[in-house]
Amino acid sequence: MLNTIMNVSEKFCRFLSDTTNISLDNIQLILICSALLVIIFYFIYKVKLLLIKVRREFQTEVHVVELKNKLLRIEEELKSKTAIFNYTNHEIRTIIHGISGLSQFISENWGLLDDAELRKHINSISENSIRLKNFMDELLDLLKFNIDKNRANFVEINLVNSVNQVIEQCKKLFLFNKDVKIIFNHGEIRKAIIYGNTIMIDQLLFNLFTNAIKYTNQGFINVNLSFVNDDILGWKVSISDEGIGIEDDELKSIFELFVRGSRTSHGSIGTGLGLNLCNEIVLNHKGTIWAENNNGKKGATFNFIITIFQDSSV
Amino acid sequence: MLDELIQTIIATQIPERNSILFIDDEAICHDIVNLVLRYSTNYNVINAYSGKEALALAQQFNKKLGLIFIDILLSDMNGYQIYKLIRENEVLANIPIVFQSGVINQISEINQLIIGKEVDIIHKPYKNDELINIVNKYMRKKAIT
Repeated sequence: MLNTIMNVSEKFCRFLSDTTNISLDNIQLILICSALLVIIFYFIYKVKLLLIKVRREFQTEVHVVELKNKLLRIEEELKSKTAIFNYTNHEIRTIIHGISGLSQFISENWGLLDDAELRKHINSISENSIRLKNFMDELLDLLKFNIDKNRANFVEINLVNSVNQVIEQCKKLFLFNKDVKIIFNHGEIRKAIIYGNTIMIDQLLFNLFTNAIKYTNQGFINVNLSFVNDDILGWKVSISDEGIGIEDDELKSIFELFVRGSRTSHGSIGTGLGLNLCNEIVLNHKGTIWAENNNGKKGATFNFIITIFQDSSV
Repeated sequence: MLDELIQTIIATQIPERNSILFIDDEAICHDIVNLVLRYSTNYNVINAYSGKEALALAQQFNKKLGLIFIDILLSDMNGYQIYKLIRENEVLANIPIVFQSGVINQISEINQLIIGKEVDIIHKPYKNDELINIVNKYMRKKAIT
């Protein structure tokens, strides 16, 4: 077989040599080189195919890792959304249970209860109806914030004006029949400019003020505005109330969703949503928020700092 | 303070296993249970507003308790944690437990606990009759046994 191939190739070389006038050795050399070139090109082609395959596999692997991470993130998000849904469901059902159970009992046993007891339970029904309304309002605020935060319109905001406006709003809404005075100390500061979303900043201030008013029956709410240049360069707003204060180990957790300070009365008007929304708003403005108890006197102070230099595309 | 004192005096004078420990952090839920059970049954209600308070009261009145109501979401711990601590406690382990829940999809988790144990669940908002029925179911069963 090999001999036959050799003979055929020799005859073919001789034929080429005769017809082209090139020496037999050169013809053989040319053919050998051509064969080698074909083999080399074939190998290059094969290696290239292999590289493409490897690259594809690698890309698929990277893609799979990315997809797995994405799936984990979605699962986490779903878990947190389910927890929020469960809490919301529980809270609403509990309040409705309270209102419907008490009113059902009163209606079926009208003559059984004396006036004092009737008054107590009807007050309780009324307070819980207000609480349900507040809860729904704050829940909607939180949902609205979550929708708006990604397309927030950041503009220049003067905190002096915002604080003054919210104080006026609170006076009209809550302080007309309450012996509580709000004092805004901003010294010589007339302009405290930050970049932010006007609606969110108003909501932040409104929630902090209503919180302070809710727990101060009588006395003063002091608001301080100052410029800070420590870890953060920004404007600091502090709202001090003369309320019930906060347990030391709850100073951080009260900003978490559905957490209420344990010093608040059972079933108080607090919803566990307001301070969480404040925290979300401040984080969205790349700021910081914290609470502390007032040194040597009753009440607590809520502080937030919002940096003066903000990327308007945040 | 006065309420606690009255609660202690009443509980120490009532017959064995005639009390219900009601654990919920909502004042209005306590109001309903106290009203409904006061006018419809002869059982005494011991009120606890947190997990910590509930465990202390359960320990203190362990011989008086015939039933424990646990709300699933409390401010300091959740209902399952209280349930486990009660079941692990020798003197409280056999007291029937009724979970109160406003969260429907927690049923499966509670069903896992139910196997072989005296555990039940009642969903908020429940009617006052449902409350009386579930209380009677366990308190009368205890009286028969």
